[in-house]
Amino acid sequence: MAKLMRYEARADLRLLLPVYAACLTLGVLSCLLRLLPDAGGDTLWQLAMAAVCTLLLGAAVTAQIAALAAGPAVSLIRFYRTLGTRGHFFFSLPLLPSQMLGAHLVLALAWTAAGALLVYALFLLGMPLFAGLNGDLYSGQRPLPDLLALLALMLLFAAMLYLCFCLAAAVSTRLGHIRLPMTAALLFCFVLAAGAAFLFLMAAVGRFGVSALPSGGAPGLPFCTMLGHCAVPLLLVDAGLWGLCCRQLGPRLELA
Amino acid sequence: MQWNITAGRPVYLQLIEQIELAIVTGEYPAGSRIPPVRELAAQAGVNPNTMQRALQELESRGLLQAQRTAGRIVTADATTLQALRTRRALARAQTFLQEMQALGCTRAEVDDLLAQAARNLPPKEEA
Amino acid sequence: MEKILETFHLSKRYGARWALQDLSLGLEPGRLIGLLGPNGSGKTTLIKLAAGLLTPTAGQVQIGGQAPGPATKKMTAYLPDRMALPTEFRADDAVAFYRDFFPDFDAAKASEMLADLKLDSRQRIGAMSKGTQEKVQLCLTMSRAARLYLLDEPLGGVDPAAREYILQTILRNYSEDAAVLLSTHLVGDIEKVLDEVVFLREGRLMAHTAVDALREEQGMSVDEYFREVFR
Repeated sequence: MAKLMRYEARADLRLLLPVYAACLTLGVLSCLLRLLPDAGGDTLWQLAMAAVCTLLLGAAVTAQIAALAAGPAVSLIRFYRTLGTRGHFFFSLPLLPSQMLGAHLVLALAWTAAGALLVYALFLLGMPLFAGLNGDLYSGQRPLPDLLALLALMLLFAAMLYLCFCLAAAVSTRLGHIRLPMTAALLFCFVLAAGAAFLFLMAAVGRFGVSALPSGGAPGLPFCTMLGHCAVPLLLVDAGLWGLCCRQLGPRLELA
Repeated sequence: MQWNITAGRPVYLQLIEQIELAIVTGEYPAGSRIPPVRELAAQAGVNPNTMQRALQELESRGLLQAQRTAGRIVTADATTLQALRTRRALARAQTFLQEMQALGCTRAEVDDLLAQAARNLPPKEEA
Repeated sequence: MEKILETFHLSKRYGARWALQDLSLGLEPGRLIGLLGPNGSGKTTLIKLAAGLLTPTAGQVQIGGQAPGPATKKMTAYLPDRMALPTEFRADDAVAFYRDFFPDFDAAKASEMLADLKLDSRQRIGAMSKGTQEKVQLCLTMSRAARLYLLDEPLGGVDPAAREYILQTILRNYSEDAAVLLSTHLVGDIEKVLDEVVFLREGRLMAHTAVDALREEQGMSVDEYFREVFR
């Protein structure tokens, strides 16, 4: 199984690395650009710069969404291809079907986590940037738990994306190879990822009463931190689905 | 060597005939080694077990000799080879005469025809 | 002799249709067996069941006495009726992959065979013509020293020269401890290559005989017999 994972990882990376690289580059670029002096004014040059910055920010956010969703999406697509004609080759390898599926599931988890961590790192990098947008956001009182809450929230959304993959795999192994779960799962991935990005942006700028970071003395747990604590149980659900898939794939293998 | 296996008759019989022919015509010279079973079978495009059966039959007829680890060789025994040649030639002669009879030729006509054909035949190189 | 592939009342159903019914069969090593029958008679189904790609509805299939699983797949070489290798592989990627996963794979032999095909080993499989792709798959499969070869329609849809090549490859890789089961509906070409034939019709076993015995008893070739039986 390790051998299969190595091969699958190499194949996945061929698709994923460009996405991650783009995300990283755009993120860093947009942060750097923001460091330029933000002098107000109507000169053409300054307007042009502002436009470029906005575009770049938009591109960076898109890249981040892509980075989050690409991992499980790529794994899902490759998994489905294995259930198709390629299955005639892959399932004739001396491996248990659970090992086949396990390789895809582990890698999907790895890529989802990698995407989440990448976006998280970019957020950390850009914190001062967002602080600049709306003054008094980051009070700097308790930095560490705030950042942990943010990380937990990231992992939550990663787990939800991974959930799409497991759901799709579970349904398809139960019902045989049908394309509907894959399309639905992919759509769901993208919607979730977009929602995540939006939520983070808004949280970061402190709009809609949602704050990512507890400021000193705020009553109760902020919404996002609470959500962040759901990440772990959700991962457990994912693991459960994973087990279900593996159990189902063996005795029900039908490669017509 | 050209192999010509046709449908309808058992394959191993045809293999025996064609190998015998090859021995008689000298394509597999006396005393020489023939290719191993698998190779021969692949050349002929036939099943190796069938080829094995044919070779074993030829062994029992004394035309081939099996050597323990080194495959098979064509017999060097002149008597056996001569007997084979005679047998094959006789069979052809009988078939020929039957066909001539069916065409309605008399013995005398047959002799004339043979002489005529022999004149047109290119001279065979002396062995 | 211990049978390498055995089925016991094997049945397979797809929805309401029975692809195989009550099939009991035994194949011995050292033989080349042809699986013959009209389209839809269950040939591919039988091969896939033996390869472990399908699960039986009833009955059992055993390879070397075991149910299909990773252990039997180690000693079974399966050639599908369609191109199943990932198309982004290059020829030498495929060789490396086979070598990684199959302990009985002879990489040197495979490379030699591919070189005989005058293939650029760095070429992607997806860029090759269909005929070449199938030959590559065949070379890789036959470079394994398996105990059971399952070839699903290896001669379907290829030109006569390629058919000749395929049959030669199969014959040259013959081994006394392996059984080769090949399915086809074009009997004519290959009957001289076969030891035994298995006739299937509508999922049932019609006959399992040795080729020479059939020719002697019936006085006709397998092809002619086949045509008569399935007229």
